[in-house]
Amino acid sequence: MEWQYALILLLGTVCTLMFMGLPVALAFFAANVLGTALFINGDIGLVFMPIEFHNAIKFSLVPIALFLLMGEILLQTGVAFKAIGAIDRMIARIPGRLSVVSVVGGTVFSSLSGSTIANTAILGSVLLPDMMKRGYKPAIAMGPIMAVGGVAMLIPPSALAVLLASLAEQSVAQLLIAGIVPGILMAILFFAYVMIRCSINPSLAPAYEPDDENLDDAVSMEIHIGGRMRWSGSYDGSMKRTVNRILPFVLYIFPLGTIFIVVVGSIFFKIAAPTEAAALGCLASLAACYLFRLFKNGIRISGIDGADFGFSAIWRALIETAKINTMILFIIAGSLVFSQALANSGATDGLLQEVTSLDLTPLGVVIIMMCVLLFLGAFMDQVSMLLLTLPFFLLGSTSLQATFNIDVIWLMVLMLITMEISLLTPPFGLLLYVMKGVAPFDVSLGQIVRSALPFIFIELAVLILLIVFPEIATWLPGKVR
Amino acid sequence: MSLFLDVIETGFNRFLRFLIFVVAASIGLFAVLIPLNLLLIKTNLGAIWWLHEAVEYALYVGVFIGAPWVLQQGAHVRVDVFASALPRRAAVQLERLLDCFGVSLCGLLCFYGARAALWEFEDGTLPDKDLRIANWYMLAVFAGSFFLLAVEFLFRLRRARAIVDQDASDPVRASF
Repeated sequence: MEWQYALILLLGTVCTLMFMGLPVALAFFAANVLGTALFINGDIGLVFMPIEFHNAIKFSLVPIALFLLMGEILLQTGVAFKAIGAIDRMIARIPGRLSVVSVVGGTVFSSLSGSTIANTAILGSVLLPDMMKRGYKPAIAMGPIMAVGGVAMLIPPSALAVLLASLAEQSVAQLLIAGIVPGILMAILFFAYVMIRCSINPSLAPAYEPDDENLDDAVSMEIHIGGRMRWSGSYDGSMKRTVNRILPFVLYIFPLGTIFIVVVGSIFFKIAAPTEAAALGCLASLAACYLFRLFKNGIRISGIDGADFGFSAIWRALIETAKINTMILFIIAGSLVFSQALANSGATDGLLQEVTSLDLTPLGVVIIMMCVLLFLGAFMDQVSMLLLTLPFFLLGSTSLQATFNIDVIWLMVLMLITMEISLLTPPFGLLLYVMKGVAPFDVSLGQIVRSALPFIFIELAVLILLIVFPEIATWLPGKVR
Repeated sequence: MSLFLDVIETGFNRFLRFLIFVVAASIGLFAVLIPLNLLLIKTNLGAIWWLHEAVEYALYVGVFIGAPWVLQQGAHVRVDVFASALPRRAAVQLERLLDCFGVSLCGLLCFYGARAALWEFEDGTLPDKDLRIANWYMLAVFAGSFFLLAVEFLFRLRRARAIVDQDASDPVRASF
């Protein structure tokens, strides 16, 4: 069979079944059965096919589950909500205040959770009702929440970065570190955009006095042991306003900051491998949550609410992690034999030779790859597009990356940003639907897309910036090598 | 007949729920044992030598035994751009068609998984690892998983209308 027909047959099977609504993993499994029967020894190949799936699930994929668990622990115990409340209190009166809170809060939370969905859902449910109450226009209320949700994909711990690096058989640690600078750069640009736009057009986000009533109260602290108060003290000095403003930020954000330091620091200083860092991050999340619980029961400080949760919250976090992890790894298992069938049919080599014969420059190839991902991203989810394109882009010595000698870490960061953009592009942009789900008012998909549009342009600008200046992505991982 | 099927479906759902509990507990165990192993290594007290391979086995088993529950929850990633644009009646027909396809596909994979498990059992093959669990166990998990998936697709066929209504009200699936 000509490689073109094999390519159309295999990709066509996956895409047709996928678009009809069959779970993506099973669409891949169906293509595997077809590909194995046609290109890998027919019936005998089909008997051997299940053996191959065992090889798909590798130890390097464990951080995905653990990074997801980290975020879920903070989400299910309610600690993530407290952190956003603390940031809300810290930020004074500025243009588009609540939109700025969502950008800062989203960036902080994305450094604790590898899940874009969790990030967007939390910010949307916590901040959006307040924004609407304050008269914010949907254009400036929803856009920053969705955009900053995607930053979770870049700033470690990013589950998608772990998936990409492990599938491409590249350093997970390097890719996690490489995402930090572009992620922060993107958050800064979102921040600047919100500030500038709200300064030019204040009607988008009407100014209001933040709830400062209790800032003038005395700062008090009580220590309770065994249900009885053992010690109490208060401060009513001239600095009480500043202390009241900063205290929630210090007490809520500092313990959460340690989680980021534990994860990224242990990887950066080579104390732990990504899997171990992710597991340490889970324990650090748990410790932070129990510290917050202490603020509820043992140490009572004015203005600090603490968090009240039981074992059931941790159990819910584990179940939710099991669900998302199974969903992701099941697709990966399904796609493994798919790339083998593509290779055996000659489709991979045929297409790559065709592209190579076009006499393109490496930059031209990178731009084509990004365009393909942007196109696919409008219709399918990130894992599926990754698994469809990886055999051509990154896997093996004949891949486009290897043939054109493209820096692999840089390319993977570009891919992550492209996938982040695709989360916001209709008709399948997942975050658009998450926003529609959490919005406390009736909003059309068109309104949501329009509010996301400026942020899509900012993300495209960062993508172009990274293509022109690869050092933005490669500088920090270079320090780890 | 309908009542009998309801009872069977309830029991089946409970079994799937039990399986996902096992998967969740295993992830919790990874989160504790991996740092413990790191601590043992860093303090020169030894190492849990079997941990990496045990985690790999557990992850593999977890993915396959967890998949039927994830399907039952409607949480597998689906690109339903086409289905969501259809009128309800046509969407129900499409759901039924896909469920029939799902039953056939999972049945086929269960069949080949069982054949592979039988071959490996007869040969008594072991993996090239330090922690050796006979290959046929892993293949039996594969076959069992696709059997459960096929059964779940049969139940989905039965409740196709409810699934279409639920999908219309909640288009967001679990993802990163």
